[in-house]
Amino acid sequence: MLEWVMTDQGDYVAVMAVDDIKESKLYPIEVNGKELLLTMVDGEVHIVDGICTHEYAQLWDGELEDGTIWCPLHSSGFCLKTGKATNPPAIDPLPIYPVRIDGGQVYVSLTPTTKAG
Amino acid sequence: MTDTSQIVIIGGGLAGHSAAETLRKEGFEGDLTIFEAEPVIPYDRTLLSKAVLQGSRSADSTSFRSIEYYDELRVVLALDQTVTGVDFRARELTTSRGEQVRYDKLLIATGTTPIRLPVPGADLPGVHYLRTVADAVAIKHDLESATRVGVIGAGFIGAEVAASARILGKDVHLIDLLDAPMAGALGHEVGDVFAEIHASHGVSLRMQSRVNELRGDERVEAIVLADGTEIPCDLVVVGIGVRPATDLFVGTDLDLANGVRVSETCETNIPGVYAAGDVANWWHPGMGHHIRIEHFNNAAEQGVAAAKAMLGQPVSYGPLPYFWSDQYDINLQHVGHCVPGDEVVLRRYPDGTAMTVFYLRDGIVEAVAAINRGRDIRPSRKLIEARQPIDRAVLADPEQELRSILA
Repeated sequence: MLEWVMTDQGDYVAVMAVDDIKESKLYPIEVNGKELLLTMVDGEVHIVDGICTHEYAQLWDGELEDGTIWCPLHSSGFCLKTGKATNPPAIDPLPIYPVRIDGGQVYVSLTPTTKAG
Repeated sequence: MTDTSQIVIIGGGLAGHSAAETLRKEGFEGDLTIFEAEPVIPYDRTLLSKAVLQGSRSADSTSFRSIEYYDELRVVLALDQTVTGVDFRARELTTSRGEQVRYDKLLIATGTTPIRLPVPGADLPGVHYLRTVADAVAIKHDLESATRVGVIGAGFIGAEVAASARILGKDVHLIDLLDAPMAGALGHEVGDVFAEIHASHGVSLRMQSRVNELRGDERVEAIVLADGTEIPCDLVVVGIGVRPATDLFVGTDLDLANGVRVSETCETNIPGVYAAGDVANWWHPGMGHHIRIEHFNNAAEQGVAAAKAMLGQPVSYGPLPYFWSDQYDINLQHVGHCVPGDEVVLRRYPDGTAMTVFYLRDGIVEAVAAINRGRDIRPSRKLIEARQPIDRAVLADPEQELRSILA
């Protein structure tokens, strides 16, 4: 397989081929030791922190419903687009990460667009 | 235009915190003060029985937000202060520092107080209740030197404390009047599952047992049961329930009945006075009766609802109740409202400990408890909200995807 070389993509890292992603399925991915969650909703790829901001729980074991990720441990809800905690007990937002698609590959930047706290 | 109105919140728990935050977010610009008897800023009380006792979180790292956050919000946290008197006609409070505080609108978020064990010896040193940070610190301190722990009451707090003490390697006796842990809230089917979980972790269960006395010279040394059994212990934690903290309002015009009675918009019978959280016995529009809930999500969400009502934007507050409990590696989540007498349908998953329990009334799913099966909670909400009779065999069958049942 040909590795596409990024020239102006900053800190973006290749994580997955777009063709391997099924709509609404939750994929755990690990990038530089960080546990992230990748999913696709209406053809759009989202990458968010994989760990709940309330207590340690892996969000890919949770549920995706109406654009919200629901934590399997205490049912906190997070908006996939904004990271906002929409349902308690979580109060801190979920970090979400910028995604780029290039050459059939999904790239993620580890500089989140939202920060916890 | 400067807003000179004053809102006072009595109680700096989660409901008070969430109301204060909402008041500012929704544009309230007047003075905002929270009176809190504990000397700490609003914190997550659910951590006390688990992470704090087990030592994975320190008691002073449980706050929701930093103190600067409240400064920025211009919320005055009057900590370590109680409200000792209230004059609803004059809209004035008296505080433990002897100050008179005027308010235009008042939110009662005083929470609950542990019920004291009414037996001889209950005031011995080494006998604890768990409600506040100070309580948790005191239990944690005594746990360090204790080897034998007696837990009286196997409700949520008692069961979680028993689990935490076992995780710390203590010998634990868990005592309750009922026949299984948490059976009062969740029925004996779920209770039996948790009895087995605690037994398998080495807890000595003393169910259907009444405590007659706590014995000891300088400190508690034993729990004496009604049948004469003496259980030696170095430390006792009592978790036999709580009562709404309404002493301040006894003898006033405020409508008290199992807490502070409020409407579906969190308003009391006194204009300008609202209540939220554990203390509020509110009219649930969906259920058609009053209900009082002592769990995290309700405090968070009802605080928001009360704040909106205080700003003249009342919302009808009628959530499906939700709570969780974590004991050992077992996660319990419950959605809806089950009552004694509900028909119970069990769905056992073949792998490990996972199990989902449906509570039916007249054939309709009213509540669901998921044990190590959190992913059933979202579809369960939909089942409850659908209010359709559902085939019991389908509910019991782990091969049937819950999400597809209504489709």
